[in-house]
Amino acid sequence: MGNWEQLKENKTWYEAGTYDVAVIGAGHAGCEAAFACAHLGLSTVLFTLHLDQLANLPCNPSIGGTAKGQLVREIDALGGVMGEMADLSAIQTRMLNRSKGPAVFSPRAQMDRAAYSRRMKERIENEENISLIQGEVVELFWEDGENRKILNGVRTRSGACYHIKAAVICSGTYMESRTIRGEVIVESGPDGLSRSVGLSKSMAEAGITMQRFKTGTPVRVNSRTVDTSVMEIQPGEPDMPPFSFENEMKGIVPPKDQIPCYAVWTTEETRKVITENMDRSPLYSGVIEGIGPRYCPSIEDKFMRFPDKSRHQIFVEPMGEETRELYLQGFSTSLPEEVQVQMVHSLPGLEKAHIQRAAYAIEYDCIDPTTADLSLESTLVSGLFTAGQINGSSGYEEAAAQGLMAGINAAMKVLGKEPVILDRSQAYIGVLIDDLVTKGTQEPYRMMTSRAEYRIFLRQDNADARLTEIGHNIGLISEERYQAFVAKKNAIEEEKSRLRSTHLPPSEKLHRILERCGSTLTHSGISLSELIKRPEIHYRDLAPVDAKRPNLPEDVIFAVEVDIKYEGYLALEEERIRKFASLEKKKLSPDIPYDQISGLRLEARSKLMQRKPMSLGQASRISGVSPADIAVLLVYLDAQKRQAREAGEEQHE
Amino acid sequence: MDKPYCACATPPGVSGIAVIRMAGEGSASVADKVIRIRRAAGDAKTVTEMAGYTVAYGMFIDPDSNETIDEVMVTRFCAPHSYTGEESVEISCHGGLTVRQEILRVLLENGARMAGPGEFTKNAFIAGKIDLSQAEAVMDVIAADSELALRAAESQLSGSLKQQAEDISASLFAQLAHFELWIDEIEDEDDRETKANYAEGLEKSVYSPLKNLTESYKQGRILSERMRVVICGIPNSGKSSLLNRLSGYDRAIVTDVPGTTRDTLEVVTSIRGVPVKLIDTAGIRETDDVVEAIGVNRANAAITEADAVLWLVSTDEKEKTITDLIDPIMRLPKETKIALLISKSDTSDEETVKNQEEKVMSLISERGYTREPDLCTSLSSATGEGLRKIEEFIRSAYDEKGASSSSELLLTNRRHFEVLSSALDKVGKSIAALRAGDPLEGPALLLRSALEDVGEITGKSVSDTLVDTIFSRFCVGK
Repeated sequence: MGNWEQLKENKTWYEAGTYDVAVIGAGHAGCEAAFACAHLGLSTVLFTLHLDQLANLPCNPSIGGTAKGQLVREIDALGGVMGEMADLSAIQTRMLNRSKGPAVFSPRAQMDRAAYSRRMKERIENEENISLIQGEVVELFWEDGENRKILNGVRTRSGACYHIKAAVICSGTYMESRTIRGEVIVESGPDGLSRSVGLSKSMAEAGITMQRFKTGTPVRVNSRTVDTSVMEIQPGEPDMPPFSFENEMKGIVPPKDQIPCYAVWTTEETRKVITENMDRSPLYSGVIEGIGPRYCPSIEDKFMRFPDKSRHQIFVEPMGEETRELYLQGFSTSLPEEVQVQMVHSLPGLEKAHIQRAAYAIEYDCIDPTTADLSLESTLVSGLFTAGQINGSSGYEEAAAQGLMAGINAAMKVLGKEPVILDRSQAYIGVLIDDLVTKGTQEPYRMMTSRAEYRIFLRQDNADARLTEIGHNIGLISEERYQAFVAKKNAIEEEKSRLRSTHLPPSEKLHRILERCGSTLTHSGISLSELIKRPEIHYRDLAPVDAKRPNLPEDVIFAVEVDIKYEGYLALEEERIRKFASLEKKKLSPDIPYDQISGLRLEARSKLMQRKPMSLGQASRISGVSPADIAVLLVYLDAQKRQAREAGEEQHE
Repeated sequence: MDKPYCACATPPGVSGIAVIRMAGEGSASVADKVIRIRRAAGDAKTVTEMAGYTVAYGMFIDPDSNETIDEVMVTRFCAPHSYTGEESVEISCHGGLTVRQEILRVLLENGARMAGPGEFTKNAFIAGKIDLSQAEAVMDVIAADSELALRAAESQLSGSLKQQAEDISASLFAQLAHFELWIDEIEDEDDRETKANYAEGLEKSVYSPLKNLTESYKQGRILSERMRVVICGIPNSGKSSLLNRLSGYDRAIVTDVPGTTRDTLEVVTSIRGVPVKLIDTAGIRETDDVVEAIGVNRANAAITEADAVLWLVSTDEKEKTITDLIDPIMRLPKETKIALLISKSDTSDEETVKNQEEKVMSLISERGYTREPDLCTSLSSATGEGLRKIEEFIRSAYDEKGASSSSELLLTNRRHFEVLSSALDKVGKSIAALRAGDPLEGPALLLRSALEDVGEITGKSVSDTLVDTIFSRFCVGK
């Protein structure tokens, strides 16, 4: 199949309409993709398998966290919706990593799962350019182009056929999925929802390499049957700023009244139950073929791989305000249901817990992301974009980030504009996409701050400074919001320069402050900026000696302080970024005949032919391409440039 | 702005003259720090003042120690009329490994960087100085050059040096993986004690070995820390000829500088791979007795600081002057090796030589010394007789001092030294930041950057393996 012509022999089909973009799947990636296309004025059809499960949170009921919080802020700075929706549905907020430094400060919020999904549905339904349809896309249509196939339509199970210019596939964990609990295997999507059948096959027919991944989710228990009094309480921080810069501008903040989480440790009994039943684990018996994530191992995996650790921490998290469901974070398993009951009952406070949903492992189809380019478009099928777990990632935030970029770039494609590509020094989003498409992944990929080479620069607090301008240029950031951003930027610069130029003479008052902060006294004059540079002194401490201090908002003060305190680190980072950027700026055309370039080693030739990197920098990160190959390419590029120039000169003569 | 880059433009190996090329914006100002111009067209006082395409004569010095390394000729090129189209400077110095390395070292310490494989050719091509038809040839040169550099690096990274660099890299990596794990996975705790432990671990497993490695490099290269070989004897005993023969062994004459504080002549060279400073006690001159006494004192001073002494006695030398040198030489500690060299005049025969040797030996024992010279041989600088024995003597003196065991660790590649020094600096800062209780992400950045530096030697990239290390070593996850 794969083309419109053959359809005529098929009785179950009809012309259902024409759209600019089809978004397949309405999870976190799909919703962002659809909004991006719609906000850029494109007619967009959004398909979902389950109209009541939009933007579902089938695993942990939280958004943000280490590296993920940074992603949410970046999505928001570019004009995505995840941050806005999360602020509205938060039931507890925290800033993680407070002691580890501002670059890794990571906002996280517990979500009311049902509320999040409901709000997202409402917002999509109110979006003028989106047609939201419950339907299962089972087939893609394409025609043959010059270098690659060109996508031109999709068909649903019920036979509805749509003409489209581009599609963004965000199939999550639904493609050909099956769930596993011990010996019990069910062909099903997550949460017992129906799965997607056929789309994966159609993609493979289009020539895309598919792979199979596995992930899992823990049990949910009823809070009525749990004794939280024996657990360590984990309260929220009610005064956190919102995820969304938009909400911050509008004064929308997370709730003051927050629901706590709890923490417990596994017991010797837990270990015993797991060890005794290991032979029934599908992971170890070989039933599971898909590759699971190492960073989010099941509890049995943790006990097996780290036998010297006698216990592991489990977090007990509420799933919403109108439900008694509690999520046991860190207790993911694929052991049989009856073993799960014993495992849960071995935890302190959960001895009598009533399980409402059992844990399971889930296997699903995804693509080899190295068949996509940095705009998330397939190098094999023009107009076909993919985002989220289908690209081998894991996590809501990773999915949303890709969905936003795939949506933007599908729109750019339809509008005939250049794609928007963020590099590794601009955003976690850039790191995420570059890692996936340049290096590929052998397991579900989670974002971590250690994946970002320029972490000190990629902070959650400066996501707006890094990306608002880009979002504004794309057309996803309103003029009002852009002006607010410019005002903030100016305020930061003005305050920094004021602090640099304000010198304090030694005084009784200053000495008292320095003493209180445990800082060394100064006997000559010193600028405010130099004082703030000292780790033990904060901006606030200096208020009594800073008479002309303007009244500035919290976020401006934070940015000023980071910039001053981290001056040295930021300078080192800038130097590293400059080095990095020099190769990134050199663009490579997809038509370069690498196989004919003298001096390139054989492995490099074949890898480059296959991947078609967009820049010399990207080429340098492909495994099998050496620095010498890069130098050769540099010369090749210049030779081409000169050839073109000399040809041009001849024409003039 | 990128630093100017430099490399030796003439092929390695024996040559009369070598050319070091430096190109890129700022080349002349780097040259100004290290070259003292003595004579130039248009009375230019600095390289910057020189007109393009002119040559000047001057001294190449190490501004740190103010020591002269060589007399050189400098050619100045201004952009865009140079090989690479950039501002550049060419330094013609004496041939030989040591002088070239010394000049490169000083250039690197004063703001230049080592050129990458084929960088001059590449930039010349990009600037349009090489015909387009040669593009493929240029690419091949780069590929071959990289291959060569790789092989050279591999051969240098042999034995214990390689082991050391890899050990350091592994420890650095392990530390960074800990930091990253802590940052990404461990729940909030501001733990000063952990940071102090990290600092201590870094100091022990990374900073100290890294410092030793960079030090070992310096030791091999800094002039004052070479093996000091003093040549003494009366005028016309053949000292100058010997000096020339020894330093000309690999044509490695670096400099003949009349010492500013002593009237001695010093020559830096390498003999059988041993970095040597030859010191000619030229202060002893044919003057009247009073002045000669001063000369002897100066010679004595040089002798006391020697690692090895080459004592020349000509066949017709009188008892008086021989005796003058016996005390200062034979009094030296056993670790300082002594070679007695009977230098031949063209006319003297074997028997004359033998007689003279016996005379010296009996004079030594007459004065009550039980020690004998470690080497006795005849020497003819004209025919080269005895030179081989002298070279072996120097080599074995060096070996006995225990220097050769560490000589393997001497980094010969300047680039290695550059990146190791940079890494050392960052690890040091990282330790200081930890001790000050700074948040972990700052020290982590420094370590990552240091690891990137060391990675230029070991060829290991940081990002690819870091996350894998974290996963395989620690229990990560919710």
